[in-house]
Amino acid sequence: MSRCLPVTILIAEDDPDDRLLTREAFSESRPANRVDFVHDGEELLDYLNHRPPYDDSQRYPRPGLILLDLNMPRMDGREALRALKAEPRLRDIPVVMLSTSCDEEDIRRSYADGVNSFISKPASFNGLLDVVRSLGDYCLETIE
Amino acid sequence: MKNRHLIFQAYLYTLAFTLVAVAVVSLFDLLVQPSTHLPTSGLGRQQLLSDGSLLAILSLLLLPGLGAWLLQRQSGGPKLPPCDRRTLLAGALGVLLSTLGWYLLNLQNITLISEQSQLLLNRIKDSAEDTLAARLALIRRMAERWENIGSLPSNSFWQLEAGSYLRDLPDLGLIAIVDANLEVRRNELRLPAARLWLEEFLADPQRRAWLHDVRSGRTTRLSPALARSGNPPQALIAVPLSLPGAEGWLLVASLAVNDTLHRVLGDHLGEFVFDVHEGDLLLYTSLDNDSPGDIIPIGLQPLGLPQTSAWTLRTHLDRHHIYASGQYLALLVLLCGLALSFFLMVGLRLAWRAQQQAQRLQEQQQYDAAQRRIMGMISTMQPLEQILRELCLLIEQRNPQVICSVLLVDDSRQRLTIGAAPRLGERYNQAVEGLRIGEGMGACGSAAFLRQPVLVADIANDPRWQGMHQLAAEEGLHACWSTPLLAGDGSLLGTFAIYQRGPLRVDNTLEELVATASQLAAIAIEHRNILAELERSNRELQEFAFVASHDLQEPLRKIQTFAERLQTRADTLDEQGRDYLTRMSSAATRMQALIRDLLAYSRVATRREPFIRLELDRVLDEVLQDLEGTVESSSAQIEREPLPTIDGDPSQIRQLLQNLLSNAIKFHKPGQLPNIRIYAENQPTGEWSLCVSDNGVGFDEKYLDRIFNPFQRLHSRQEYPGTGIGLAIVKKIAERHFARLSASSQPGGGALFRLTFPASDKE
Repeated sequence: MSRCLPVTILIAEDDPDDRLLTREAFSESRPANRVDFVHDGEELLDYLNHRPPYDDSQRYPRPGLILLDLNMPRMDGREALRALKAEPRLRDIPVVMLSTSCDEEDIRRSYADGVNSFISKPASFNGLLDVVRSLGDYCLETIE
Repeated sequence: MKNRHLIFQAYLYTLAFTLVAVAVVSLFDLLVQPSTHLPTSGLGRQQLLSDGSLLAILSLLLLPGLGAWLLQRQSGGPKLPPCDRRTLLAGALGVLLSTLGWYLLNLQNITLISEQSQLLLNRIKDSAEDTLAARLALIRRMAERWENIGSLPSNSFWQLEAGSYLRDLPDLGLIAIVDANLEVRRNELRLPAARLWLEEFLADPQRRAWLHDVRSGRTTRLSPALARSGNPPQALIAVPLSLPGAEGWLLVASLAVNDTLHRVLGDHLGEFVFDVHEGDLLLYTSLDNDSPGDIIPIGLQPLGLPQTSAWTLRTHLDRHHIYASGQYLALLVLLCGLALSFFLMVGLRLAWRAQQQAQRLQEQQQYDAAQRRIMGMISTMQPLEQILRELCLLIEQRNPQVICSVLLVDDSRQRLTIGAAPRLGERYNQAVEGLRIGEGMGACGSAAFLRQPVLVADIANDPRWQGMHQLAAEEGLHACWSTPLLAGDGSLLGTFAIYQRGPLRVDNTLEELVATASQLAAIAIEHRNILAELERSNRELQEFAFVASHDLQEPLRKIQTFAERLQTRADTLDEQGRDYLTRMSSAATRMQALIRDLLAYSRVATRREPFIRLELDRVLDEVLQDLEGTVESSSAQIEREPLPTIDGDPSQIRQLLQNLLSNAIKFHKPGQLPNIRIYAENQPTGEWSLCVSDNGVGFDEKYLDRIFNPFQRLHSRQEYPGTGIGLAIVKKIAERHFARLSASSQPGGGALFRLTFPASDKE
């Protein structure tokens, strides 16, 4: 018998306002999923590779979906994406790129680097809710 | 002025050649003379050649030449360029040919004179001998007559007979009969003085011996001449006379030799002067006056009968007569030849100079063309190093003695770095690289520091080359002249230096060359700096655009989002609070639109795509498709005519059409359906226009200069929404496509926007 468990969603976002809004959007539309935040690409890789302070794999499980902000300090979304896709163990985690820009060049390069979706950060909270709901297209539940 | 020097030079050369040629010919003549067989003794020929008049003419030519040369030396005029080989060769050949002609003509003349004199000598000899023989024969016949008669003639008969002889033969002075003791028995005298002459003759023992000799020889003979002082010499004809009872008697007659010879020679002797000598005694001369210094001996011929003493007949030529007989011709040939040689040299020199000038002109043209090419390289933004290298090579080609180097000020403005020095060695350039700007730092460092040209005449002993002496010596550099390159605002750009492997003399030509090179180098460097500055500011602008797009939008988005979140809790706010919230949201939305439009406007310059062929009809199709919703909702009527094909940026042209059309739809008159026409229109100038006209609200044309500026609006936001960027973008795109945007309208009467493209764009 199989049971669907909501997956953990890992969001790399440096902006505290955006973190707040995203958290609110998820708690409104997908309260079942656990949402973890990291501040930049390097922290993201630490999280995924269970490096301290993320060495507790119970508390920090493998996420079912990663949301990447394009512009972040230290390691930006593009570099993080390339590092993810270079590692076979992490390659199959779906990645959605979020960005305030809708620069065609950014979009093209992100898809070339293997992103599953490129979404412009919506200007309104309702838009954000729509975006979060649309993430349901990716399997947000794991089958055990 | 310069021609005068050339003429003078040709003159000097002609003169020098002439002297050499005459000397050579004379030497040749001297050497060859003994082997030349001429009918005459050859003595006269030499005298003819070393004619004083030639020397006179040469010195006459020489004097002004020397004078001009001295003047030239004193005035210190421009140094003459060395004569080219062709001119020298032609001049030397001309002079040599002229001199040879003169020499050969002289030779021929001499031969002619000699032959002529020889002919005359022979003729005169014959007739003189004939005459003498005739005289001897006459006296002899008289003696025979007395012998036939057999006795001494009576006095009266003698007088009759001898008198008729004297009458018939005027050159006889006396006729006498002397006995064996040489006593005069009979005589007949023309003049009483003749008697004295005879007595003197008979008193002379030598002549007496001669008379005895005649008597024993029994032949008729003529004695050596005897001249009494102050009288012309006379000779005695003696014939043995054998009469019965008068053994050893002689019949004698005195002969005035000069008279006889004068009769023989006559007056028709041409230019020649004759004289006859017996030993040293002058018997006869055809020269009237006594100026023997002016005559040149030509030939001689022995003269005389077997029975007479030996005479010598000589011919002479009066010096004044020589020129009448061809000597003038030779001199004339020489002078003409020299003149022709001189003119030939002048002509060749002038031609040579014209050729030089033409060559210089051609070089100048090439130089100008190369300068233009470098200017072209500057304007087409070729790499600076390449331009400076080209410039150095040009200057080095123009003046092969110099080696060029351009140093540039580096970013620290403290040091110089190599811009170009194509003919200096790698090691030297490496040593110069990073040269500090300051006094005593080579010519370039000093020139850059002092901001004025620095000349280092002797690198090897100059303290400014401290530490570089060895390298400079390896390159063979002797002197350096460095000029600072200054920008229009006076700031230092670098230095332009010329090195020379020998002594460096700064003259006008070099100064001009360096000035040109410095200007070009300064222009190139400044141009590059300005371009770099422009590029930097463009980059900053793009960065600004990015900042605007991202960092400005980010907080704005937050304002909007949190305002929205606040609105979900609007029930906790009062009426005024809700109004503030709404106003804040709409202001934020408006700001977002402004930022978006500003970005779009700046992207016209930054986001450029290369031009391709565009069918405007297809572009219009796409634009109308995009605007389908707007067109339908406003029930706009679109009339279109076929449009041409142009070269353009596809997305920009599309945006241009879209902005124009959406403007036309937007600004329609309330209560009236928009009617829009899109068509192409040929202009009389050959250009063509893309026109978009509408029947909308139009505008007052006094606002024409405003409507194309960004964010300029003529209506309130309530009437017509929008930021006012649309036409500004259209204008910017039009400018990028070399098109002119114009508009005509009147309030309420619709508007016409006209984009005029250059003629070549239409097909």
